[in-house]
Amino acid sequence: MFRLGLRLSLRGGREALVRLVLTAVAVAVGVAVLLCVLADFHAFQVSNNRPCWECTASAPRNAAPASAELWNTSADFYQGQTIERLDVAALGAHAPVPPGISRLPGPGQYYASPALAALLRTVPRDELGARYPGTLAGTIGNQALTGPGELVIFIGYSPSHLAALPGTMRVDRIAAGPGKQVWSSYFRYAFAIGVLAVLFPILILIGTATRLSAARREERFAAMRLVGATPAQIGVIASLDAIVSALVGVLLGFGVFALVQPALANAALIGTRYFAGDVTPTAAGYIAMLVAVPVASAIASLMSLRRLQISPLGVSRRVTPPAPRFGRVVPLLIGIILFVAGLAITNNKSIGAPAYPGLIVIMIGLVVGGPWLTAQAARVFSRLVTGASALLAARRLADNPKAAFRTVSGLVLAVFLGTIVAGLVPAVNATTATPSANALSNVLLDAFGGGGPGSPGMAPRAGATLVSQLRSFQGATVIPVYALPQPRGPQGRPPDVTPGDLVRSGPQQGQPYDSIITCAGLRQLAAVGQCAPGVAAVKVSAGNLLYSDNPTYSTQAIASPSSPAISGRLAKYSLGAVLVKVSNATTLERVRTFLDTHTTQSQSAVPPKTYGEAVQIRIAYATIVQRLVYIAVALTLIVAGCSLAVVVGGGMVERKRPFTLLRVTGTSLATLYRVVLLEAILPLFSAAVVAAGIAYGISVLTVDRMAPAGTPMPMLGHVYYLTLGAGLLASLLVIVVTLPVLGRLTGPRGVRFE
Amino acid sequence: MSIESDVQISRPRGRLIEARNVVKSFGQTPALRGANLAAESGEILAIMGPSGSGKSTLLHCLAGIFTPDSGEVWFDGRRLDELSETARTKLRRTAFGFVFQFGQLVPELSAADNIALPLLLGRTGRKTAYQKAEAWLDRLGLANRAGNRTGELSGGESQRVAIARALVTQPKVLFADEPTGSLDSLAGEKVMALLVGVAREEGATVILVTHDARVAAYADREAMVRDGLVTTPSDAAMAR
Repeated sequence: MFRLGLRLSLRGGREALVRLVLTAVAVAVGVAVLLCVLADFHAFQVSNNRPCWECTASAPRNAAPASAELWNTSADFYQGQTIERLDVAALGAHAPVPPGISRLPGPGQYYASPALAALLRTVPRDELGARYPGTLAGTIGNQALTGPGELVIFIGYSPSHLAALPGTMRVDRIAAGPGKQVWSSYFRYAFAIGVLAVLFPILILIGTATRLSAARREERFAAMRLVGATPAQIGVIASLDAIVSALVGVLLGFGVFALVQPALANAALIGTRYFAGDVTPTAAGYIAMLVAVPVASAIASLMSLRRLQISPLGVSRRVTPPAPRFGRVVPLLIGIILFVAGLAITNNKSIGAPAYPGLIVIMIGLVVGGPWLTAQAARVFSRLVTGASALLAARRLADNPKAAFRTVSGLVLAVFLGTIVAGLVPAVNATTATPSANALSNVLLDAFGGGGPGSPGMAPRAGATLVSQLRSFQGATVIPVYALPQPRGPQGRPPDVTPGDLVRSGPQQGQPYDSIITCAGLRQLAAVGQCAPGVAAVKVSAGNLLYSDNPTYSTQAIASPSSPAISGRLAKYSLGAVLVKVSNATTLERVRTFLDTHTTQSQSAVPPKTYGEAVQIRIAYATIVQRLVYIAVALTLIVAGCSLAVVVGGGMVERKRPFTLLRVTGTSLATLYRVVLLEAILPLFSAAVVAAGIAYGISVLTVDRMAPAGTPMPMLGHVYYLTLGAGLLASLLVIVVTLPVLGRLTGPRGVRFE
Repeated sequence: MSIESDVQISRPRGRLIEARNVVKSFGQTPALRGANLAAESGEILAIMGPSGSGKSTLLHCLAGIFTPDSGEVWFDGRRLDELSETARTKLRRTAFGFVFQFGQLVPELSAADNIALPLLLGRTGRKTAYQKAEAWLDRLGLANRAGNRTGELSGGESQRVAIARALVTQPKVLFADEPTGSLDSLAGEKVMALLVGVAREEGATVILVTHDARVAAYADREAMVRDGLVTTPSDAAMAR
């Protein structure tokens, strides 16, 4: 029986070969997509599990100097990218060596990651290289890096030099375990959801491909049953057929994946490029694919043969499935009610969690209710549009809306998820990238002595020199922020603050004044407030606003016409911070390099960065989520497009006889084309419109309930329309490409049926 | 051989296959309303009747493809309608042969493969199965078409392959449903002559469904089916 089954699959003539190739190609697309997702997930896990040398803790005081070193880690920025910096000084011959290098850099040496080394070679020294004293001793190996694009530098110092820097600690052991990453589990879930979102349409694709030309195969199997083949024997033959196609498809999918793997490694799906060697599924993933896909195909094939157990006459007496009832929409309605109710009881702590079950039920409801929507669309369509093609298409859709919708169900879910994300993410970003934050996007902040209330700042003379030097940069406008001495209580008691020392209005009401800013400077930073006319400088409470790394707070007004004026020479005050407004990226990096090298390193708790960079860091995670969902939507569209092609092509082969008869009796080929197009477009668009509508409604409700007042209502951006439009267009093109097959199938030679 | 009345009778000797008061409906549509029919061993019986009269349904019930809603089907001393699907499948493979109008051949297989198929399904050795298939091809004048797929055969050749496939297992009953329906009259006559000839040589009972009187003329006896009931030819004539 195995031999017969294999013979039918592999040497069953042209039609069997075409079916095998089509099925294998469809399975290959699905397998390649899944392998891409698994590969990126594997790379993500490897990256997360790399030794977290940055997590190294300080050693006990009694650690032996011979096996210890001084260690100071900090962050730096270049063109919005973060540079991880380790300043290190060996205390003895056995000082531990961080991963990725063979020995510690000596004073005047540094090791850089390959990406940073490349930058250092190409970028002018005064924009980057000058920040790092010494010469390049070598590159840092992969063990210390999350990916080839990561910017890391290990700089060697003498112990006496490094010991003088704030934040330096003594280390005798370098952390080797994986780091605790706040976002890891978040991305793991996102990946899991992504895999599920893609898996569903892929299973549909594999199932559809396996059942390609099912009706014609069923006739053959019925003929075999007629001469005495048992259902088990038919099952073996059908399973073998499916397994052979799936196996060929899986192997083909491995090949496709090997072709796209380099591009995938460079794709930086979640903002990080991984090492190409890590962007690969595990051996278990490959084996699972090799086993699971053929098994799934065999199951799909066996399920499609259930009808043959009824009679050896096969499909000669097919019972029309009952029309879907309104009850199918009930889960969708329940989901909407659950979501709205969940949203109503959510608060800042639950961040929408009560609404999640409703969201899941809505997704289930869309899949369950899809056939009913398809049937209704077909009914409305047949009433609105007259003509033979509309009649034929609507009749077939109404006959089996479940099958018609099954093909596009994955796509509809993709539209649903894509629309929610496209609506919510820009709204979330809008709360961070406020107009004020955008107005300050090119303003660099460097705070000294920790910044904030009570910080000593930079000595007046040094501060004045620094400001003067900064003003010499072309394209840089410098706004000094002076530290206002804080009132102190006797013998360390709480400060003896008078009402006149407290802010009287605005967001900082009740906070003590901690800074002085010139009104000329404020005019350069219109977003943070203005002085009263004729005033030279004012007291402000900038600590919790200006120095915050949250743009939502850091860009609120700190000054107003009611801010207390201050007169006299400001040069007598310590310099708390400088705000440097830069005109271009080159000036930005020159100023940053200057600040890095001319202020004591680590004196500022936060490395100098612009408010624009702070905004980008804040919204990066939301952007990554948006990108992941768009990728899932794009992959789903590809897979759903393949499903459509398989179904449309298979449907043409199965209906060769009626289509040929229609054509020989005078129906034009154009009419048949319209029938095929309508059968695919109608369920796709009707369900997609409903899904997008519900998803957009969810976005609006969520923003209305959870976002701060004044957050703009979600607007679907051009990326959304481009992604969905391109995907839907690609799906239609796939169908159009299959149309010439219809012309050949229904030609005069097709009149003779065997 | 007389046409059966509606009265229940004990199974007489010599009757190889028999339908007793068989009722079969498809949904709300009745196809057979108490049909009675029997065929003796080696007999060639033609079932005639207008389109939709239930003659094919009766043949399918006799062959164990359909299970009657009520009534009995007997074959070789056993209640066919009470057998399990597996047992009926085995019976179709070992004791029955089928020739239909079209669609009964597997297009992915060659003529020889199609003839050998029932033997292979019955776990006959591959060599033996193909030897028998080739012998039948030779007997029916198709020796040079052994390797051709069914799409490459003419209608008459396809039907000859179907006859060979039906008889290769040496069945006791050969069921033929409009075997010449897709052929022109000349090819049809050739196929019928061959079918009847080899069936007689093999000693098989032939139950033949047709609406063509010329095809029915090859039979030893005719039965008329009308509105789901079997009537005698004279009854049918009187009705006309």
